[in-house]
Amino acid sequence: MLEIKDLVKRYGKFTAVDHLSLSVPEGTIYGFVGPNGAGKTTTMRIMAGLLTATEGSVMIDGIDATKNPKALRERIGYMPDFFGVYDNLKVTEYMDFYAGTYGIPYKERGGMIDNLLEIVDLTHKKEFYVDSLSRGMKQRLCLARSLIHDPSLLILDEPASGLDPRARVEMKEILKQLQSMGKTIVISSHILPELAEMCTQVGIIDHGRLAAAGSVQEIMHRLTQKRVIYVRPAAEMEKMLRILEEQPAVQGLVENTLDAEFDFDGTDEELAGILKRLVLADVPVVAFREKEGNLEEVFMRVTGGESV
Amino acid sequence: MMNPVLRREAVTSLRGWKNFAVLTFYLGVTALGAGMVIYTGMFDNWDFSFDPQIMMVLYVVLAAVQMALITLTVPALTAGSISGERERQTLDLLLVTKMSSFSIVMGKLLASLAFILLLIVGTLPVLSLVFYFGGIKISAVLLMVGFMLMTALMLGSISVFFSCIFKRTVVSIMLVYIIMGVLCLGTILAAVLPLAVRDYNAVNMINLESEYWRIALTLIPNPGVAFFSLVDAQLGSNIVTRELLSMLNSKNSALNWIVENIWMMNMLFDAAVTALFIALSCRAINPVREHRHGGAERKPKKERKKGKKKEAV
Ligand SMILES: Nc1ncnc2c1ncn2[C@@H]1O[C@H](COP(=O)(O)OP(=O)(O)OP(=O)(O)O)[C@@H](O)[C@H]1O
Ligand SMILES: [Mg+2]
Repeated sequence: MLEIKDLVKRYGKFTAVDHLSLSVPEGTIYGFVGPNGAGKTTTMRIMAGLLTATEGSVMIDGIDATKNPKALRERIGYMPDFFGVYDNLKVTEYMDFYAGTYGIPYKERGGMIDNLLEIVDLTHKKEFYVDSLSRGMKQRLCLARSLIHDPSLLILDEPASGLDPRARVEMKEILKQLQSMGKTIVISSHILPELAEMCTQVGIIDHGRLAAAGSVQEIMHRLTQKRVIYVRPAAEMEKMLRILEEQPAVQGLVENTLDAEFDFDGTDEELAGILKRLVLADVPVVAFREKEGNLEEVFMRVTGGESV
Repeated sequence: MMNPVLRREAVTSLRGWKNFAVLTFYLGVTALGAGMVIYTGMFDNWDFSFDPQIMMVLYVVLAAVQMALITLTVPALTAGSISGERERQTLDLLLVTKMSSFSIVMGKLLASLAFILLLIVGTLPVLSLVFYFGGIKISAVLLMVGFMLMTALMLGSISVFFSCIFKRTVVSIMLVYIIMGVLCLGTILAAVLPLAVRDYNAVNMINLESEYWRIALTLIPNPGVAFFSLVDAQLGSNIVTRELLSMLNSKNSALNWIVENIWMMNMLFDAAVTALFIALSCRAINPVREHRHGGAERKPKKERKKGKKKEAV
């Protein structure tokens, strides 16, 4: 569906995207994660035909995006990170305008617009002026707009930014629905856990390079060799910490006000032994468990020192 | 199918009452002014007969007012067309659609000019009054309107181009006014100043014919000269044409023809400028135009050069 090969974008001497290669199979939701300035927007703008690559190629459905912008535009729906709306225009007129820019005949527009507004749940705002909509509604409207010519690939640059938790969930629902309609979706975000819930594949990008790619589980597995153990005593914190410090397999002990965490490098038996020691030493342990891999931490580790 | 950009702007601008009010006000004032001139003209003569001269004056004044209106308002109306979309962050949304750069530029240009066109067309009935009371043919009135439209398009296309390349609308407006100053005053200075500076005898020494040509050609882009030359042609009046003819006093019939039809030359000039700046605007807003000149195709060019060198060796 989407194949990026050795994509390079330089602004003068600065390299924003540095030999980036990735491939997005048809029907997937591909998450594009990275810290600020990683090059997500730059890459997506190149995909959308709004920017030319310095080197490399972007193939969409076998079409070279940089060489055939016309064919490209029919196939992609693009939602930028920042966008504006026109004054004095109602929601239906807004949609009608963009339908016109794709050359959709007047007759077909009505039904189509109703459908799309239904998908993004804006039917009740049909006759409202677009500039009177809330941010989340504008975001959904922009999504509907990017769907107006029934593109097979959606490129969404941080569609969830600025949305409240509820709106984020709704956005996710909409995207899942679009996926079930057969669309391929590339979506960017700063937040890996947010994407992990809905993306089949993710690519972590940092300083213009692809730092890791694959399914969320794969990435987690590859990047978390250490086990992190969480302990919470009801009391006797000092005593517990003293015992833990004595254990050779315990590293990186972190003390919080009510609980503690440590990296554990040993067998299950050894771990059970530690718990036994704590209990025998009369430490009232209420919780002692292995922490699930933390996506946030993985993200921090992958995207290098500066952002931690 | 109507250009979507134009259609959208039509929908939004017809919605408010402001544009409507301005239009009504302008047409009202024009009609009132014309009515007063005609009325007083009638009562000036004891037999209520009509002095055609007054109608001529009315025609020229009306046309001149519109001409001034166009040159003053078109830059302000058009200079924000593309930069406004950029500021509002809607330009990218437009560029990713299937609309070609040309349709976007034309849509924007026509939408910005639409209001001024409406004003011009709206005053057609008043201008036709002149026709009704005699004195001038309807075809002449239409030609005058056509001339104004051409001037508006020329200024508008320059303005749209600046709007494409400058982020700030103010910069574009300033530049278009500067260009207008050059067209209106600069050309006259350029035509006349060398004569004043040069020693009269020296002028006689150099090739007079080429000096005449220089003056005539320099004045072609001037909208004011062209306007009055058109008035002269239509009314047989003597505002610029005969002045120029006698000043140049050339025996060259081609040169004389150009001087007599300087308005026509001006319209051709405007058409060429319009086409040029529309083309430049299309280039300027097309985000992927670079690939023709750089990027992907740069390598083959270098290789070709190398190849040639090898052949030469
Ligand atoms: N027009 C430009 N000229 C020069 N540098 C630019 C330009 N656009 C982007 N950059 C640089 O390219 C780098 C990547 O920017 P980009 O917008 O792609 O990052 P991003 O991953 O989208 O970040 P964010 O999460 O903040 O949106 C940044 O360092 C930025 O400063
Ligand atoms: Mg970004």
